[in-house]
Amino acid sequence: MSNNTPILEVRDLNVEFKVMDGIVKAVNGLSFKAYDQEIIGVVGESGSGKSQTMLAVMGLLANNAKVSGSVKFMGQELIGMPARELNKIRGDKIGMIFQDPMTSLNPYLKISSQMTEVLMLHKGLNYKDALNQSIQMLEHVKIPEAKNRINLYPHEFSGGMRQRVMIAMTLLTRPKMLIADEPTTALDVTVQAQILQLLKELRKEMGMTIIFITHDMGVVANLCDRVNVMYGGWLMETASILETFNNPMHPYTQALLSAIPSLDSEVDKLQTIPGEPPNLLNLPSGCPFQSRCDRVTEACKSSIPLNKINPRHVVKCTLYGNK
Amino acid sequence: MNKILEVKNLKVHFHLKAGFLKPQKTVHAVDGVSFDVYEGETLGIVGESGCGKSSLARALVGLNPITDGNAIFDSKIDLAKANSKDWDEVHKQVQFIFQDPVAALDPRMTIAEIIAEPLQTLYPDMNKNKVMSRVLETMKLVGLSHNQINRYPTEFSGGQCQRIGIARALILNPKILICDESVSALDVSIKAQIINLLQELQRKLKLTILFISHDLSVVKHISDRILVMYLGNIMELGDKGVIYKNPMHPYTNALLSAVPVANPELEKHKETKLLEGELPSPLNPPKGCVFSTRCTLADEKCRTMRPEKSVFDNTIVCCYKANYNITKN
Repeated sequence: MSNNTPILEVRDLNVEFKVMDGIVKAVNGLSFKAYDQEIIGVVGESGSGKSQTMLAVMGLLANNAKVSGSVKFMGQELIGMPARELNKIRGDKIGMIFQDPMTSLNPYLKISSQMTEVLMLHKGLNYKDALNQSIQMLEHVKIPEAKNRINLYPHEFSGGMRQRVMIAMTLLTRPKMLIADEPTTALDVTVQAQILQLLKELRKEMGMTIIFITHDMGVVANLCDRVNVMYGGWLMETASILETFNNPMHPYTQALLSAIPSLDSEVDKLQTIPGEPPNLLNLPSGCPFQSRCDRVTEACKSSIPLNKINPRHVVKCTLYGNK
Repeated sequence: MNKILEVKNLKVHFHLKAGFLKPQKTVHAVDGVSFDVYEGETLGIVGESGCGKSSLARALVGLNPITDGNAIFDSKIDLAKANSKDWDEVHKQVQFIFQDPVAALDPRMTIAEIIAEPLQTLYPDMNKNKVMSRVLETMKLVGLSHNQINRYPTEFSGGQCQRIGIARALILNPKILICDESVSALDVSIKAQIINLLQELQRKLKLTILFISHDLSVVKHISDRILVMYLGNIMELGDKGVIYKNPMHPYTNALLSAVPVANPELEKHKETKLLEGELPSPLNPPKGCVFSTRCTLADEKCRTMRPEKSVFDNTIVCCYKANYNITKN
């Protein structure tokens, strides 16, 4: 599925926030690539930096954020790009959908004016053409009676339908890449299944790369080609979907997978990860997982090596020697 | 086994305010459900949002009024006719754990005050030393340390706050614990800790748990029996092994097949039966079977007559088209 030039290349990305109590290190030395039409899952607990990474890519970080490193999208450097330039890329070539579709849509405006605005702004269409294309896109994401329903307000849609509207709105400009931040977390499983199915179809039809942030390993297994596992702002492991589930290498990935109750097997007691996620204000030197890891050694306290198991499977852990 | 709770044809309706030229409308949140809860079991209640699972749970502790039907607690008190004295008695025995662990705790009270409050409210004559020793005992039980007693909820993480919520519920030594999405807001690693804690406490204290969740894998792990609800009605009720392996009701079947499994090989070959359409409005539920508008098997009979429950090998199903064959094999 992938060819050689990545659509997105993140290299050594750091995101820090200056707060009253010190500096919150939200993302630390993050590097990864996303190739054409690939679906990458980004998993991790709250505070693992998965959302902040994507906000950094989109240039949407809060004002007190300090970003360093490089984010290249189709060869263009996004970090440090002026907002006016960035506006031509985000919304146009990179789309983003959020967890809560209700707060992402303007409750005072009809869907029609919110959708046509996108096309008029980015593509310079007139209202009539923009409206026609919007209706087509709503039909594309399988909203029945799109012609009539485009004149409704957001609150007149159900949660699942609202998320479809959001997806349709994002796809209007035919973006090369879609960033989805927990888009199905607030939805029921039956609706989630519909949205996941839709995303898989759209990826093929529109040739999109999708970066899908979630904490649900089931969703990852259903949708993604590759998985980035994050913890305490660090990328702990990245591997293909099959390798992540069949041969997880990092103790955190292993612990994460065994902590989920499963529908297809039965256990008496769930495996737990003792303790709590690290405080980002005060990260330990070395591996952020050291205080909860059952295979911690002296070496973990000083540095985290980067181990390439194979070109597509990278682990950050002292357990594995460099190959 | 003893029935600790007998729910008979329970209805929870909410009446919307009528306006000028606007007739009064009624939300049929729970529309006639009947089931028994046995002592010491965990009954999982599942269904999509809007199916009435929370309205049902809240009605059982008096947070929602019961419109019609009976809910008999411990063969003594009918919750539908309970006066405030009866409710005091019920609250000593039935406790509730909420979804959002942080919002459920008063930010201006210390942990000791929060955990002691139910005891002081329901046993006003208990002396202070006794209360304090109960607080410490309960904190130990849920894995909180003694030196945290004078801290405030903001100083705790979500998982710790949920432990405080559990301690507050357990200090009364209740018989029944109702958990309404109590682990849904927690991270995976913390969620597993709290689930294990609940199971351990159940064994130690012989608790009966009503566990409400939309997360079907968690419900499967923790429950003995499963109650599947849709639009205020019971679709299926039975042992977890039967429900998850051979669901008889088409809705249970659709719901289970929609759950993504953390196994890419299985996911690839899984046949998902996508449900078409949307949940009908509880203001105006379908006339026949409430699921008939989205069911692929529905025919004329399903659309006009509401199916009665039929019992099959301890499993209760409300469906004309229920797949009885699978269980026979």
